[in-house]
This record gives sequence, structure tokens and C-alpha cells, in this order.
Amino acid sequence: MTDPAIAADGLTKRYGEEVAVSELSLSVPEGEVYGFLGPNGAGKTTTMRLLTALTRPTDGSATVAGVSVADRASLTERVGYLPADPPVFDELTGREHLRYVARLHELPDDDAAGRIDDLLARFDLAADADRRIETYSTGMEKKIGVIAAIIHDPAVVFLDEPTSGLDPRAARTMRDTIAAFADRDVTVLLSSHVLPVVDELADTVGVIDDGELVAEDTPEALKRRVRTDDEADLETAFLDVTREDDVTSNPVEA
Amino acid sequence: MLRRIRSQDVWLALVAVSSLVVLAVLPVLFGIGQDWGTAFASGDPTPAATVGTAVAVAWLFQFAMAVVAGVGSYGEVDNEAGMLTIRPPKDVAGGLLLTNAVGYALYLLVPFAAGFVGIAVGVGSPLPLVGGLAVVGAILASAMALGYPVGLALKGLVRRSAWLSRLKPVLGAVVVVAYFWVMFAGHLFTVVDAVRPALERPPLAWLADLALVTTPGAGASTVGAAGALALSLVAVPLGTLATVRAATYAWDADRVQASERDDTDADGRTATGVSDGESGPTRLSAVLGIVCRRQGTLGVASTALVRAYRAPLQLVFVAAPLLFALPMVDGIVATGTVPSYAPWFAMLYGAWAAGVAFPLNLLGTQGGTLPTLLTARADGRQVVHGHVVAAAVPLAPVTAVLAAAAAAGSGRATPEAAVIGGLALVVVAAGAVVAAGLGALFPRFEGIDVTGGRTATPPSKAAFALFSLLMAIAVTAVGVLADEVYRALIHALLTEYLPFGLSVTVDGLETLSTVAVPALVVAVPVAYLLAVRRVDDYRIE
Repeated sequence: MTDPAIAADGLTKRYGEEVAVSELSLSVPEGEVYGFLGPNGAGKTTTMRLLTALTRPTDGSATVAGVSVADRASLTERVGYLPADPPVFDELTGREHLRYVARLHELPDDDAAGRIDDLLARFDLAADADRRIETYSTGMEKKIGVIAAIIHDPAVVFLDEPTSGLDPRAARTMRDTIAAFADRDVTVLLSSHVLPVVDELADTVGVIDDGELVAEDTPEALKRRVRTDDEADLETAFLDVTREDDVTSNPVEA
Repeated sequence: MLRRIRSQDVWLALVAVSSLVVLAVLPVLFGIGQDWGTAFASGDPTPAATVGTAVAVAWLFQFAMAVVAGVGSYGEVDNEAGMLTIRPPKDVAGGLLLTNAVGYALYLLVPFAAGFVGIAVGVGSPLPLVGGLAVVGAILASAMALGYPVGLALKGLVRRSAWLSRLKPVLGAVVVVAYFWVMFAGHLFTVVDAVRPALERPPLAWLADLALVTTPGAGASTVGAAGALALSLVAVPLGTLATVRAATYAWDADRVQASERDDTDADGRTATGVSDGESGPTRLSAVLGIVCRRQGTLGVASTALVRAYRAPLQLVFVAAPLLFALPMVDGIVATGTVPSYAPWFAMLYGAWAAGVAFPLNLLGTQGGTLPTLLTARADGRQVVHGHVVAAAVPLAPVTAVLAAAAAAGSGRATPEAAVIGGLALVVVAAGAVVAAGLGALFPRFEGIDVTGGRTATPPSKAAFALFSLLMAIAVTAVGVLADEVYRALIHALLTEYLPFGLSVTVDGLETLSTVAVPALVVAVPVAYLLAVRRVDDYRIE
């Protein structure tokens, strides 16, 4: 049995008295798409930051692609991260920004140029690649952010709201790209409020509320938890497990 | 709101300093006005000519400010898409014109009030205040109504022209340097003399009549005053109409996309056949590649420089000390004599600017892209190297040449000038490294408004103050040890200005410098290690 791509054990983050993430434990096998759901402010972004070594945990531990999150230097080449707000420099063109990120990942310019061209074409950005990002729409910025997150071919990708702001065609491309990750044994932690996307792509769904993992199972099992007929959907399941009177300290097994 | 105001600390400090300067100047204006008023009261109308020149210069200045407002961010609409779909452009343009006029009102009203209150006191009658108030209104209304649409039209022109859009940063820098050159290097009177014939002819001369028409003994023409009022009343509706037309021209422009591909063929390939989107940055990378061993270093350095070129207002704080250099440069040009401190001033500014430009806030200037930097393979060394290279590669050679040329120009022997030039290279690079250490230790992430919609993230106050102090000590200590002329100059300054009866001999100064220089030399590797470690360990909390 191979080690999980993401393994968190009692991961906790406190800001003073406020608990952002509490005793979070999860295990995501290699090549799986893990849908990460939760209301606004539930702790999704903090969890992603903890798992990408951008934030130091108050307690607990985690490994990503077999590397402890305490060892950021070793972790960086194995992870890609797309924050909810695409991290781009407005003054650069899309191509320049991607070349900057490629250089940060120590990719040789010649190799990077080909990869950038391929990814730009895949995301239908080739024609706009030499325009400054300040002229881009939100969706175009998001595409640049996604390409930047995967340009170095990471083993684990953390995507925070990757489809928000995208037009239907771009959203389709994004979903295909995420599905293709799984085919190549790339592990994806996918945070999204677009529940049909999570329903379509995720092998497992974890629901976090008030910093605690309150449910974790396959989408089908989560849906069955609230309805026994075929009418159940992930939205109903999400609303059910994040009801204010339903927050428990232990993950719910369906 | 209060938090937002507090976050603009740099501007608040500038406003406080400016207010103090204004408060110091107002009594002077009052005194001058009082003298003029006394002269008018005694039947001597001679000061009227000077009042006329001052009023006409104020109109010209206000006109120039209106043009700048129109062409700059004050000619842009906040939330353009929303605003222009709610109200017609004429309402928005008219509103902007009015807002800008009101915004400039205090700048005119306060100094004019001080002067005309002085005249009123000198004359012994409140009547001059009526003319003063009228001329402020006339200047504000006519200069804004005529200047603002000119600025908006220029904005439209720039937006429609790829060539002008590309040159915008350079043109902006030229205008700013020219402005400060005129204002702070004593050339204002030269400019005024050059345009004096126009100032002394109607219609600008009529403004003086309007200003003094209610002042007894000033001999102002009632016809001229009426002409000034009438022209102002005509200028406002005409200017408003022109503003609407010019605003539509500017806002409806299909902006030239800020593409950096300028030598592509129909297939989108560059002339070299390499799919490379930007010739300028590519040439820059080639140059930086000579000194950058790692890709991460190259990426950080080239990105910092490209961003600075395309958004130069981010570095507005670096240019501020140049104001102090303008009188020196002007003096050199005028007299042909280079002061003995010039090479050390050049070295100090070069080292300071190299630090403040990039390394002094190497984490904060990443903004929202900080996660990208921290989750990339590039480690702290590459991040620090990149920022130091971005600062030192353009600034070290320039500083070295300027310092060496100033040394030679101020009468030092060629070998001595060469040593100073060489020292400048070292000091600039060392300054950038020290700045990286302080910047990593005291990062600042809050931006401040530079112009309407644009922000800059200056270094933190702690980093800024410590670095400025260290650079001043470093260059002074090096100068004292390396240059006899400079040593004598510093000794003379300290003898004159040391507080509390303190004094220092030349030998004592040398001893202090001998202690300071090794300590500062040690500070460079310490700062380097500190910066690298801080970046490697930095977490977003």
C-alpha cells in the first residue's frame, strides 16, 4: 500500500483565542481528487495554507507527497497552489508572468517556453498571452493562476475556487484539466462552492465547518446521508452537514 | 475609514510637513501684502505690477495643474463601467470638473487670503478682500475650465496611440523632473521672465485689475476687471462643454492594449523565430543572465525591473531625495564648479536608492503573489540575490560613473577619482544587501494610494529609518577615511552643528570612522544571512 499523497494528523491552527482549524485529520490517496467543502470562513483556505507550508500549524502534523509540511524547501517542487485570488502581477503580460513562475521553479527557459505555449493554448489564452494582465478579465487571470500552479508538474495540486469567474467553456476546460490530473496520478485538493463541479470530479468529499472536519465520504455516500431516493444532491448534503446545530467534533461516517 | 486614513501614513507625514511649511510661509505673505497695502494707502501704485505678475503666474500654475489633473488619474472615473451606465458622460465629466475645481480651491484660497488680508490691513479697509475673493474665483473657474479638458484630450490621445502609451512612463518622468527642476532649482523666475510679455497683456493682465479693483489707491482698471469677470463667465460654460467632449474622447477610446509584442509577424512569431512575447524584457533577461547563475534569481530580478519600468510610481519615494540634489546640480551647471561633497552625495544617494527601490521591502512588494514565491523552488538566497541584482545592476554603474566624474570634477586626482568610483560600486551593492536584511526583518504589506486607483507598497518606517541612518553613517565613515577633502568638510559641519556643546577633532572623527567601517562591513554578511533565513522561514500568518 502506497503512502497517502496528503496526510494530516491533528492539524490545528489558532490565531490567539480563535481556532481556525481544529484537530483536522485526513488522508488523501495518490491520484485522487478530494473535494473540500465548507461555508465561508470555515477554515478551507487556512487548511490549504497549512498543507502548502505557507502557514505554520499551532499543533499537529502533515505530509504532502511524503514530505513534512515543516520542510518547505523540499515540499515546493511537489506542490502547486492556486489561491482564491489569482496571484498575478498586473504589470506583466500573461506570458511574462508564467515565465517568472517557471524561473522561480528553476525550469530552463527553453523547456518552460514550450510548456507555457502548450498550457496557454489549452486554456485558450494564446492570443492574449502578450497583453498585460491588467487588461485581463477575472476568468483570464484565473486561468493564468491555474497554469502557474501546475507549470512545474507538481505531484499534488491545491486549487481554491478554480472555476469561479470562468465562462462555461473555460470551466469545462478546467474540469477536464482536473480530471486529467487524476489520470496522471496527480492528487488534487479541490475547494469550491460550485458543488456540481465537486460532485462531478471528487472521489472523496470532506466538509469543514468552524475549523472542524464534520463529514468525509464519497459524494454518493454523502448524498445518501440526507436522502434515500435518487433526488439527493451534494448541495442538500452540504447544507445538512453544515447546519449550525449539527456541528460535531467527530467526522460523520455515512 | 479611520483605519484607511491611518494606513496612508506616508502621505499623512507629507501633509503634516507641508502644512508646517505653509504655516511658516503665510506670515511672510501677510507681511508682503501689508507692505503693498501701506504703499497703496500712501498713493503709490507701484506694487500693482507685482500683484499683477503674481496673479497671472497663479493662473498659469492653476492651468498647468488642471491639465495634469485631466491627463492623470483625476481625469478617470472610479468604477467606470458602473458610473457611466448610471449617469450620462456629461454628468460624470461635469461632476469631475467641479470636484477637481473644489479640490484645488484651498491651494489658491489660503495664500491669496493671507496676502489680501495683509493688503487690507495695510490699506486700512476690508475692501481689498472682495477683489481678492473675486480673483480667486475667476482663476479657479477659468483655469480649471480651460485646462482640464486639455488634459482629458491628451489622455485620449495617449490611450489611442501605441507609441505614446509605450512612452508614458518616460514622458511622465520627464514632466516630473522638469517640474521639480523649475520649482526647486530656482528657475521659476527665469520661466516667469520668459512668459512675462504674455502675463502683462490682456486677458491675463485683467486678472490684476480684478484683484485690485476694490483696493483704494491701486489704480486698477474697472474695464479690465469687468473683462476678467466676463471672460471667466464665458470660459466656464465653454470649458464645461469642452470637458464633456474631451472626456468622451478619452473614456470611449479603444485603449491600445498594453501588448509587449512589437516585432511579431502575422503568425505571432518574433523576428528571431522564438516564441517570445516581449523583446525589451528578453533583452533585459539576457543582460541580467550575465550575473544571475540561477533561474530563480533571474526571474526575481527581471520581474522587479520590468514592473518598476511599467509602473514607475511604485518608486516615487526613491526619487524624493533628488529634490535636494537639484540645487547642487543647478549650481554645478551654472558655475561649472563641482562641490567637494558631490562624489560622496552621489555615492550616498546611489546606495540609498539601491536599497529603497527593491530590497528594502522584498516581501511586501510581492503583494498577492507572495504565496507563489514562497511555494516555489527558489529559496531565500535567490529571492535576496534577485532583489539585490535588480537594484545594483542599473544603479551601481551609474553611481560609480557619477561619483568618479564628480570626484574628478571637484579637483581630485584621477587615481583618487577612480578609487571613489570603485568604492561606489561596492557601497551600492553592500547597501542593497543591508536593505534586504532590514526589509526581510521589517516587511510592510499595506499599500498607500499613489494616485487615484494606484497603490504602492513602500518600505516599513522601521526599515526605512534604520537603513537611511546606516547608509548615512556608512558613506560618511568611508568618505572620512578615504578622502581628505570630505574629512575636512564633515569635521567643519560637526564643529558647527553638534548639539549640547559636543565637539570632535579630526583625529577623533577618523577614529570613529575606523571603528564604524569594520562594523558596517560585518553588517553586510549578517544582513545577507538574516534576509535569506527570514525569506526561507517566512509564513503567512
